[in-house]
Formats: sequence, structure tokens, C-alpha cells
Amino acid sequence: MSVITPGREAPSARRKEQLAIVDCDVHTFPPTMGALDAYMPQRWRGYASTLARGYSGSTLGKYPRVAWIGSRHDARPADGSLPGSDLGMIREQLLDMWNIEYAVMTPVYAMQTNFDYAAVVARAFNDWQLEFLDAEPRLRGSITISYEDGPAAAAEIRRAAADKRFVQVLAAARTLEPLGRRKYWPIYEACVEHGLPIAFHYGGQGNPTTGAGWPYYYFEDHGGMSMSLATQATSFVFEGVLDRFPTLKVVLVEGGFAWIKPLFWRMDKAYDTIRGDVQLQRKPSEYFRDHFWLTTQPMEEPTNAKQFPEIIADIGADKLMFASDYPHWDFDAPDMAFPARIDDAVKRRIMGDNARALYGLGVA
Amino acid sequence: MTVEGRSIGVFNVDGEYFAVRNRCPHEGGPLCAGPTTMHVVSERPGHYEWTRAGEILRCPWHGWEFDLRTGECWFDPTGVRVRRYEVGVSPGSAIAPPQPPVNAGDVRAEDEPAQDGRSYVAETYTVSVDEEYVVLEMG
Amino acid sequence: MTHMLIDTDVHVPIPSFEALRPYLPGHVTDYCAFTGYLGPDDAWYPRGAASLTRADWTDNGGVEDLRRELLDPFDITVAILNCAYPADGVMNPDFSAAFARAANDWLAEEWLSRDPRLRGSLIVPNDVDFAVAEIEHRAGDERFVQVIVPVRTQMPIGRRTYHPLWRAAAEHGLPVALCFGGSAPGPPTGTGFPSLYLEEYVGMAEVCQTQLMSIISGGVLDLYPSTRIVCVECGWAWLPPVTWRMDKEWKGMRREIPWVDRLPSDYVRQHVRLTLQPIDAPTTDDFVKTIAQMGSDDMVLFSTDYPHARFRAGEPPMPADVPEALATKIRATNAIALYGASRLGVRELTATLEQEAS
Repeated sequence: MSVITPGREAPSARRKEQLAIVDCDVHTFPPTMGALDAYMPQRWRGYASTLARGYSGSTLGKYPRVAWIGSRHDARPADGSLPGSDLGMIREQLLDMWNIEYAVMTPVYAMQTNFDYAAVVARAFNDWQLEFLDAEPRLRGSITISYEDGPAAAAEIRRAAADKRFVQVLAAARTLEPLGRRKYWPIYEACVEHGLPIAFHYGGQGNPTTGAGWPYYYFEDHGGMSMSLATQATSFVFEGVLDRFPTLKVVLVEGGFAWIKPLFWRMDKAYDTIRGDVQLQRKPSEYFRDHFWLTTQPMEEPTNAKQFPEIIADIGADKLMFASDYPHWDFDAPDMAFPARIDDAVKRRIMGDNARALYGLGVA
Repeated sequence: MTVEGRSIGVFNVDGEYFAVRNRCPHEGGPLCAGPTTMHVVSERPGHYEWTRAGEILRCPWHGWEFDLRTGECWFDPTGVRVRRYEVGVSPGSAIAPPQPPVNAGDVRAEDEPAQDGRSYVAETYTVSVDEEYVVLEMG
Repeated sequence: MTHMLIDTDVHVPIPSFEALRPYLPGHVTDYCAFTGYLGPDDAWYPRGAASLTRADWTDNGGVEDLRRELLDPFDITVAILNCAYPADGVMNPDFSAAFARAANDWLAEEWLSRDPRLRGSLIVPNDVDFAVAEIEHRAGDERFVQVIVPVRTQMPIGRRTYHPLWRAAAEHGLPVALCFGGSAPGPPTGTGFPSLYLEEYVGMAEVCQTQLMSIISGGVLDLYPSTRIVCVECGWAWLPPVTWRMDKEWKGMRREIPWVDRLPSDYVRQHVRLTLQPIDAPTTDDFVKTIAQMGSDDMVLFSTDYPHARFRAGEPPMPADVPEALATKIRATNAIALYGASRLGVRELTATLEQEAS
């Protein structure tokens, strides 16, 4: 019989993607939350573990997740640091394992009640990201902002945007008010000034997570994030944000994508029937093409996998951008995430070309 | 451990040995890096009953539950399995002769994304132990 | 050829407090007179939003209007009425119960007793014990074919607080309808208070989705396997992605909710039905494709949502080119399977149809 040697499935055993991939959702992190203090003025150091508050408390404590810090078991650094803090592991488990050309970091920060502190934390996240950006040329960043405070968020965008390795601005999916509301418009103004998309990412706090109160289970909390992204998209359209900022681009991150088509159908029907509420320049679905993108994770798995290619076709192959969500437990592996074969040309767009176009990657 | 290019995990559950392929049939995660745990069943909301300590292997990625005894995935025992290998305990002098290699066609089928839905058949191996020799049957 | 058409969502709003007053108990009317309180006024369908009611239909009409505008021209065999009275909007639980009782009495007297084609949805108050009492009180009246709860409840409706309501409905063979609307305090979305009714309207679909997640994860369908749920006026084009998402979650999260012992989408196909209007799918192709993605032809129930403006005058309520086998199921078969031929009063008609088919 064969010689037994210790080891694990070698990276070369994975079917290495020949396509150069852009991963649009990677959660890098400092080794501890406290490590972020180094990027803050003295007065705020330690505040996170003393008096910092959030809205309604974070759902992190309310719903035990599938795994610790919501991360893959095998993505935990041996020294107990936070998953996503070890660049070596990120390279080994993600960037090198598949042919990842670019990976977009998405540090979501949601404890936004103290506006002064939130601004400090956002800035700290952005300064910290520079370390990873310097150390690993394949990485790109997202400008973290204190999104409940429009003017402060806009100021941070303007400050950080000078570094072109920041490819978008990042806010959470669940906010205190729907994101189309005017208090958030200073953010969008700064985004379009610098040609940066705004990304709404899984997470956030402020309201019960459904329109009928707080659910019992992580099953509902996690799955319900798509519904939160849906109500945000609705707000964006009907509040006229896209009329006011016709060049603004929106990325909906970590909510899957199959729900977007029936949502825009419903918006169209509603807008056609219910007059007198708002006057838009276009009908709702006409905004979708020019303004919205979605990342693929968690990848839809229709009951009948044969329906998968038509789901993509109905949304539009140019609207979807692959994301792994490394190191989270619901990680999508680039080579095995798709539940069915799709056309090579479609796959190329989703696995990289759409993101390159949106974020201007690989352009001098 | 790596055997014939495949990573396989061998588990000792109260003196019984099981071996499964270290590759989750869902998205290829390192299955054997996941925790082994009890099985949980329930008769009604709020009722959590724990049985069969250590016999359930959860994928470290999406948490799918695999029965180490059968390799079957709990939520779809007929459609989703991980490959088991027979593991036996034998004295050194009685170690089984080398088995013929696994049909290369099987390996290829597993590595290709399915054309048409997913076929989540993966590999289990029967394990047995005697003295210090863990004998893994690859056939 | 015998034809049947069962309209599972027709609105007959209570036109005014005055109309309801004769059905309210004395202590309530006395209190209202003194305080000038005219009952809960939550506007699930804002009054005066002319576009909500079709221009050629009568808002707040009576039985004659309904016959002339809906039952006769559309050849409706049975219409299930929903007065959508926001009894849940009264925070005082005893008053909420009194208003719900009165609304149901009003419906029975003013409508159900006046035309044999009419059936009713039972309004329940917000307190669950009182809701059970109202179900028990009305259980013998077979003209009430379902319990109706606005989809925006105060807490997700799969929670254990609501289990007595689910049990009572199941015991009496009554589906529970989750209908557009609700007076629960708090934002109507998970992302805060929207500025516009349009957003609240569109977002009602998301509320329905999260309620289905709550019902399944809460184990309601395991505890009471005869439960049937009807999503009324919440749309249905959104259903397939939600079922796929639930299935995907459950495969890894089963241990959080181990009483859920099979795919959530199986539960949905077995226990959930949805009324036709609004048809959010813009073309017949989209319509048919969505039903294919749902994986069952048995789930959609014909409705006009009269008098809301869901389809223009002269247009059919359902596209004429929906394949006939599917259209037949939607028009009546699915509703009869759900509510029962006896309760709908169509036993003889159903028998005739079966004879004609064979």
C-alpha cells in the first residue's frame, strides 16, 4: 500500500482557474479590534472596549453564527488572531490558491451612534488598509465611512480618495434610515466627485431586521439580509437619488442576486399604478442597468440547477461580480461555487471583466 | 494524510476508526478540518436532542453535516455523500497487498463541475486499526 | 362547459365608524363617543390615493356595486372578502378584540348573508389569546374560510407567542392568510422608515418573505402539519429566490432549527399559497417562468384584488395566453384544494366538472 504522509489537499490539486479572477468581497482585518487603536488619537484608544455604543446592540451577539466570528474553521490563524488578519493565510488560502488578480477588501463598520468616534474608526480602518495595500499589490480597498453622519462621511471620502487603490466607498446594508434618504446624500455627492461607486454590504444595525420585528434565528438574520438590500435598492430608486446623481454607481454586496429581477418588476408595477408619490425621470427598471451591480456570494442554488443560466441571463451577465467573502463560513470557492455550467463568455464577465470595468482595475 | 495524491482524514471515535476524503462535495472545502460533533435531532421547536457523540463531521466552510459511519450528508443521504475508505487494524505481517488504483474516470467526474445540477458523491474509505498499523483500503 | 372562477382577494372596506357602530359593544361606543375616537385609522391603503382604486370601480360600495362591477361581469363563482380593518392598530387589547369582533359581525351581516357567492376572511385582534377566542367564536360559521392577519405583525409570526393562533386555525381547518398591511409600531422595513408609500408598498413583499422564514424556522409547520398559509396581495414573483436562499441556509444551519427536517422549499410548496394580484411579472413568459421556478403549479390562486387598480378596464385579470392547464388551476382548482369545495359552496359544481372531464 501507499506511503502515508501527513498533509492536506495541496493547492495544485484544486482545479486552478485559468481565468484571472477579481474577488469583490474579502474581509481583511487587524489581528484584534484593539490593534486599530494605533491608528486613532490617544483620546479614543480603548473606547471600543469601554463606552462605545451601537444601535440596538449588534446582531453579532444576538444570533450565534455557524462559526466563530462567522468564519471558516480553517481560516483561523493559529495564534488566535482574527480571521483575515494573516496576509500569509490570505495568500495561501485565497490569492494563490486560485488565480486571483485583484481582491477588494470590505471592512464593514457598523457601530455608528457616536458620530465623533465613528469618524475616528472609519479613518483608522482606512489608514490600516494602507498597510495591506502596500504589502500585497493584488489587494484593493474600500473607503470605510461613518455613514450615519453624512458630512463627516463625505469628508473622509475626500480624504481617502486620493489613493487610487481605494476602489469604492463602503456602507452597511442595514442603516438607521433607508439609504435613499437625504441625510445620506452628502456621501453620494462625494462619491460622484471622485468617481467612486458606493457599496452596501451585509451588516449594519439600527432597526429590527424585518418590517415585523426581530427574528429568533441566525437562519432568519442571515437570510434576511437580502431583503434588507432589497428595501435599500427600493429607497434608492424612489427617493430620486439616481436622478440627483446620474453618474452614481451602487454595488449590493453579499446578498446573492436572484431577487433583484422580481424586485425591479415590482417597483415598475407599483410606480405605474401608484401616482402622486414621486415623479422620477425614468421608470425604476431603467435605473438598474446603469446604476446597480451585485456580487455573487452567497451564490444562488436554484432547486433545479438547469434554471441557473437563465437567471443570470435575465439579470444580465454584465451586472454580476464574483465574490468569495473569504474568510467567512459562507465562502464561495471560485472553482466550485457555480451550481451549473455557464457559458465561458458569461463566466469571464462575472469572474473579472465586470469588476475590472466598474473599478477601473488594470488601467494605468 | 495524503494517499495516492488524495487527502484523507482518519478519525478515531471511541476506538472505532473512520476515514473520509478530505474534500467536501459541496464546494471542495477541507472537510476533515471541520469539527466532529454529536448528532442533533428534534421532535418539536425548542427540543434539541444530542446523540452519537463525535460521529458527525461538519464541513468547516458551510457547516454541512456528514455521518462518519456512512459518509452520507445528513440533509440528503442519497444525493450527497463523501467517499469513505475502509480502514482496518492488522498486524504488520498481514497488511493487505496494494490495491489497484481508483478508476481515473471517477476522480475526473468529481473534479468537473456538473453539467446539470450537482452530483455530490464523494469518497469514503473504510478504516481499521491493529496494534500500530492503520490500514487504509483504497480500492 | 362548467366554468369556475374563485376570486380569493376582494376588498370591502368598512366605510366609516358609523357603519361599524351598531356592531360594537356599548362600553366601547360610549368610550368612543366621549373621546371622539373613530377607531384605528391606519392607512394600509391611503384614502384619497385615487390611483389605488380603479377609476371605474366604486370605493366603499355595497353588495349591488360588487355584483354589478365584479361578480356578474367576471362570472365569479365565489369571492373571498377581506375588509382589511386595522383592528390590530388599537393597542388596548380589549378594544382591539371588540373592533375585530365588530368587523367580522359587520362582514357577516352586510355581505356574507346577502349573496351566496360571498365568503369571508376572519379579522383577529392583536392579542393572541383574544385572536384564538375570535377563531373559536366563529368556528361554526363556515362562510368564514380563513383567518386573516396583516403581514406586518408586531413580532415575526413564527414565534412561539403566536403558536396558539396557528394551532387554533389548524384545529378548525382554517388557512391563515397574511395580507398586505399591518399597523405594528416600528418601521415597515428592516432598514428604517421609508419616506414614501411606494417604498412601503414594494417593501411589503420583503415583509412577507421574512415572515415565511419565521414560520418555517419557528417550526409552525412541524407542530401543526395541516397548516395552510395564504399570502394575500403580497405578490409572488419574489418567491423562488427566497426558497432557494432558505434551502441554502438550512443545509448548513440545520442544527440551529433541527425540528425543520426537510428542505424549506418543500415546506413552502406544500403549505403556502399566494393570491394572483399583484402580478409583478411583466410578461406572460416571465409569469410562466416564475411558476416553473417555484416548482409547482398548485400555488397561485386567482384574484382580482377588486377594487384596486391591478389591471386596466377591458384587460383580463390574468394574461389570456397563460397555458390553459396552469390557468385552470389558478382560476379555481388550487383554491378548491385549499379551502375545500364544501366550505366554498361549490361541491356540486366541482362534481359536475369532474364528470365533464371524465
